[in-house]
Amino acid sequence: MNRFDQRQKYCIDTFAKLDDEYDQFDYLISISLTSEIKLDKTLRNEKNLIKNCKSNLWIIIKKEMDGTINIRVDSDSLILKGLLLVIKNIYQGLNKEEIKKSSFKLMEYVKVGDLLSNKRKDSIEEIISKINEISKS
Amino acid sequence: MNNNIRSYFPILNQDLIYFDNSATAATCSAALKAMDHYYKTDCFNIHRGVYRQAQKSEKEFEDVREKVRKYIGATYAEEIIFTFGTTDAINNLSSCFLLDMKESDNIVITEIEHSSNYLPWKKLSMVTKCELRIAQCDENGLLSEEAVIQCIDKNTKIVAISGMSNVTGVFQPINEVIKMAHENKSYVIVDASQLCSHTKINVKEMDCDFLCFSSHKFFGPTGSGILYGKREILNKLNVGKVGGGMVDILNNGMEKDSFDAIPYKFEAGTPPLAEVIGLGATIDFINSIDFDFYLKKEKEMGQLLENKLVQIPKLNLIGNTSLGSYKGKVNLKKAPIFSFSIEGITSYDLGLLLSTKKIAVRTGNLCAQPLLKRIKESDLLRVSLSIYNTEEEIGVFVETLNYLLSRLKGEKCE
Repeated sequence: MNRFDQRQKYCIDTFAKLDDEYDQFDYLISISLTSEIKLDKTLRNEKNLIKNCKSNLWIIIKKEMDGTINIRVDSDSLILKGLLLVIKNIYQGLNKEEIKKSSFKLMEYVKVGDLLSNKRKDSIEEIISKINEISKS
Repeated sequence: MNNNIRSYFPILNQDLIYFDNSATAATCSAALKAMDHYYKTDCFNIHRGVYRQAQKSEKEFEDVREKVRKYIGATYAEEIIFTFGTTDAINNLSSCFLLDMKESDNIVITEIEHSSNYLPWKKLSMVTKCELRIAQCDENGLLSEEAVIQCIDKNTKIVAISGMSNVTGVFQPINEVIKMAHENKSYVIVDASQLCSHTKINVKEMDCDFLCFSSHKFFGPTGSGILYGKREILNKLNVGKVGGGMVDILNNGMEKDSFDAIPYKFEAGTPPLAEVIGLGATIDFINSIDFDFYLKKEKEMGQLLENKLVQIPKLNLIGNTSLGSYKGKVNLKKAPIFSFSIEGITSYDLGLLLSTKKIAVRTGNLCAQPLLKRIKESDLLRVSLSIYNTEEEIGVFVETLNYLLSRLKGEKCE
């Protein structure tokens, strides 16, 4: 199993153990609260903002010198930040070949996906597309 | 009629504390039964066919017009225009003024308006190049009559104002506004979307020129609403929406057409037949219960909730009538609509967590962006009660809210 599939499976298995909707959100909140990752005010700007998402979501995706992906995320919403951190943990440090073979399916397995609005689901899809795009470039 | 008001609202028979009544109220079973029956036996188009069933359908429909007239205290049935809701009513009405507005005219609206009573007038102003004046509310989201009156002058053609803010729940004082508007020969349009479920409306007492509300905020079905207009004004008003069912003689090409008498000239297309029947049944239901008793009970629930909310640390309750420009001046009446923010916590997170605990509230900008900009908030959580909410529900909500706030602040929870 490659790194992407291993990491995604770990996340899916973790969510599967949290049967209750509240428990899944609570898990995402815990991730946010315990994370030291926070974008500086200067980086929480229009350029890094995911458009069409009513909750502020900022993401910076870069391709490093060694061809691997580096992702930085932040949000005003603890739940969405938690979700972004999960996505980051799946993709962080992967190279172009690994991302090319990847298929992001996490949202199908998490109850929280049902409660996200269509616009927010679109925002998550937009982030995955961006990751794919930047890794190919 | 049994004592349990909740039993008349089937949608409440589920594991949910429903506190989003400002968005849509629960539909009464009387409306559901009437619509079901209508669709199964009487749903034939009206004002068109001559066959018996069409005539029967038309009579039922026009009976509702008379019911609405009586309910809101209008003088004539032809002053009642059926619409698809408030947004439809105001868009239709604003388009009636398209050919009348001059560049020297102005339209007065306010910062507390819902998007549906803001955008149509903004659009009319942009298209006709007349001035749009916007009366400001204060930093607590409260609008004084003086602020509106100051905007009115002899060139004011229209004053469009909400009877109740969907953010603060304040019964907006408008008597002096209407008086001043009429002294300047301006028309006053009252958006009664929030008012309709929290008070009995009387258009004659109010002396407004137009008033509108939606059935679904008044315990009726979605898809219908009413626009009231004084007969003498409707008779001289140009048509807005055009189409079938409202034209008398349709001439070829660009020749002028003639239109039906009121109210029909404002009801283009097939009206929302079953939904109007549902509205009629809703009025019957409201008339059959002691509505004043339930409104009094609702007020008590509101007071109970407000007393609990103001005790929560860092909770900013919008439209607190003890603050701001109203302090000490006027005893403002309020419906049980409470919008608030909590420092450091997004309403989105709170709303989602509440939903996992089977509590439904509204979050976001509440279609009230001008008001939110004024009070420097970007998103709020709104709790809006109705006649069927209970003290027990309020207790569960506050307890859950406090628990979730602790969680979101990273405090340990049992």
